[in-house]
Amino acid sequence: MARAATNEQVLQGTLDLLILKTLSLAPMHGWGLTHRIEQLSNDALQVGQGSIYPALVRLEQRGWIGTEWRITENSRRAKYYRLTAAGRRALGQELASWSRFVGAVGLVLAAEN
Amino acid sequence: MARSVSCSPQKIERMLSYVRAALTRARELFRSRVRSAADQAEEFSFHVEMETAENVRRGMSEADARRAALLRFGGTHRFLEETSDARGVVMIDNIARDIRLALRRVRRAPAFAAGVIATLGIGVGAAVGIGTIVYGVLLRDLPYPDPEQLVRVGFSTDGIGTTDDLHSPATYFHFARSSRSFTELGAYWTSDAFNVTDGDAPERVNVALMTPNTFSLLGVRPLLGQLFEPGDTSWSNSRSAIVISENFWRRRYGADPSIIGRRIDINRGARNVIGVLPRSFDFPLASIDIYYPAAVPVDVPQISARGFHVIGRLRKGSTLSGAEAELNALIPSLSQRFPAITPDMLQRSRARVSVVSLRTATVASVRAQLVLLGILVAIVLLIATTNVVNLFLLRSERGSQQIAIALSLGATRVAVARRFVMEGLVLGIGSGVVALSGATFALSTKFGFTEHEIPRLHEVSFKADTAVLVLASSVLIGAVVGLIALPRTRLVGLFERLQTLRSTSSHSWRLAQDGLVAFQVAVALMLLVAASLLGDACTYGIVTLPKPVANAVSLTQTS
Repeated sequence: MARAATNEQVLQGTLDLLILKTLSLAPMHGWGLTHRIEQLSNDALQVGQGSIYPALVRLEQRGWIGTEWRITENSRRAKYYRLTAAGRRALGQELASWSRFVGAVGLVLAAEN
Repeated sequence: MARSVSCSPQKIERMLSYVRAALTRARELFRSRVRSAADQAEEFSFHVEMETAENVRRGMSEADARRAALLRFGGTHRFLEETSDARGVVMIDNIARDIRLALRRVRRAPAFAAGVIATLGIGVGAAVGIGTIVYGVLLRDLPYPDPEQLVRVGFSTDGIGTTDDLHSPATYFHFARSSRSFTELGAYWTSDAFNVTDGDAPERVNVALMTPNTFSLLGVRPLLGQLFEPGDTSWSNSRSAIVISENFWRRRYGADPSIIGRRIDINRGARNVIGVLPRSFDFPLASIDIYYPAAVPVDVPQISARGFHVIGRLRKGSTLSGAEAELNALIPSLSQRFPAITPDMLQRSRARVSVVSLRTATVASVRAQLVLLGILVAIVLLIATTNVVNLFLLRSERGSQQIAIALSLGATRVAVARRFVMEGLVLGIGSGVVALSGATFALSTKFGFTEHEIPRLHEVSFKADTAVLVLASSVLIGAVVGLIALPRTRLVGLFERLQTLRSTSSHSWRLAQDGLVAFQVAVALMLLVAASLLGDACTYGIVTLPKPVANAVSLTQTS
């Protein structure tokens, strides 16, 4: 698919889902996370870099993600985020509710006169 | 009965451990805040560096890459604020901001603020000022050790038409000898027929004549010198002792420390000053200048001519009712001790003993008036509070539009509630300042009353706890009033709300306001009726202005 002409701002409320899903692939630090999300969406989605950290703190408080300080391949110290068991369960629920939402929107859009 | 309000060591220990735990928690909160702020700063700079490096890889210059990275990130401040907001750490900063906002809103409505502050300030100031007087006079313990053991013992004889509750020498002697309920019984009377004639200016003084044990019974210690001994009443005692009050010592002798041992001419006799009592000692009246040791001679035993007040200290384990029963049971044996007092005389006179706590007896003459005054001032406070609630409701009605917009823009109900409570708090503090001066005025002038009209009044003064009470009640009322105004800002849709506003006030809202007005008028009317009834009662002598108990009898003693 070609690169999207415009970057879509991440819809409010879906950021948590995107973070959980991306972290389920591998633990990573905040900057890596924003780029991974953009990369996975073929740059269609743009994550506000300053808004990802409040979301990460919130998810950490809920116990869905854990943090640890690690050394990167460039031997810098960075804070890594990883999904916890509770986060994995939450991801399942978020996915289910997302698919219900998409399905519902689809039904509306598919309606004919 | 033992009182359980004392502070046991365990209680203090427990309180201290709470304080320690709270301090530890606060310290940890502070440390974790500092630590997490440092962590965040590191995470932030890491992020910007990675982004800068990425931009350089894409072909930007180093400076451009960094600027772009910072721009995209959204600035340090926003980063820190948003993350800490998510942490909930930001609450304290929020409160400060709320206070600033509340101050700004209050400044923008000066008439409203002045109305609230004046109304609440006067209400609370009057309530606390008069409440402190009522409490200090009626309820506070007497300023003596173990004050609950102190009682007044009355002896009355309704059958022969006397209305006082004083003792004759015979009754005092009999009870003091025979009773087991008391550690001691003391008798006293007062007189103003004494003249001090030393120095240049003669002076008429107030004197209390008391059995020498009265001071030790009360538990008072002298400021200077010593107090009476049992032998001081004997005429042959060369000591000729008197004790003077601190006020008299300062007034007449300029607080001369060499007063002890000085001879003073009183009623053409000479007496030696053996001690000075502290100003805090106000028994039986604060106006007493000189204390004489007095014997209670039982030359002519009788029960009809009586002039002695009797007080006592209950033995540990004795009760008021137990002591009263014991003394009443001792009445018939008066006839055995003094045959001149016949059983028939005792029966005909309906001789009876009463034992009441000394505190109650001291203030008995003003109890009803002070209770009434307390109720009236509470009603005034109620009216003031209702007025303030009304002002707040009016204001919240006017502010509804902004609230509606704030709510639909995503403000939480808690945030809106906080706004109202904070405004109430700020105005409460303002009222507290007004109330403080009101209470200070009430307690410093005491409305022109003296301890001659209201016993114990001089013991009442403005203290730190009064200030705390004033501020706490103002702030509390402010916050509660702010909350009461809140239900108006129910979460209804913006559309309905704006529509309601464009028309006049909603129906239920107007009902509430009418209710408030009706309530206020009713309470004000009640106050008016009560006050005018009291005024009438005073005018027509149904209620008489109080006279202190100790002045009921003034005997002259010539020595």
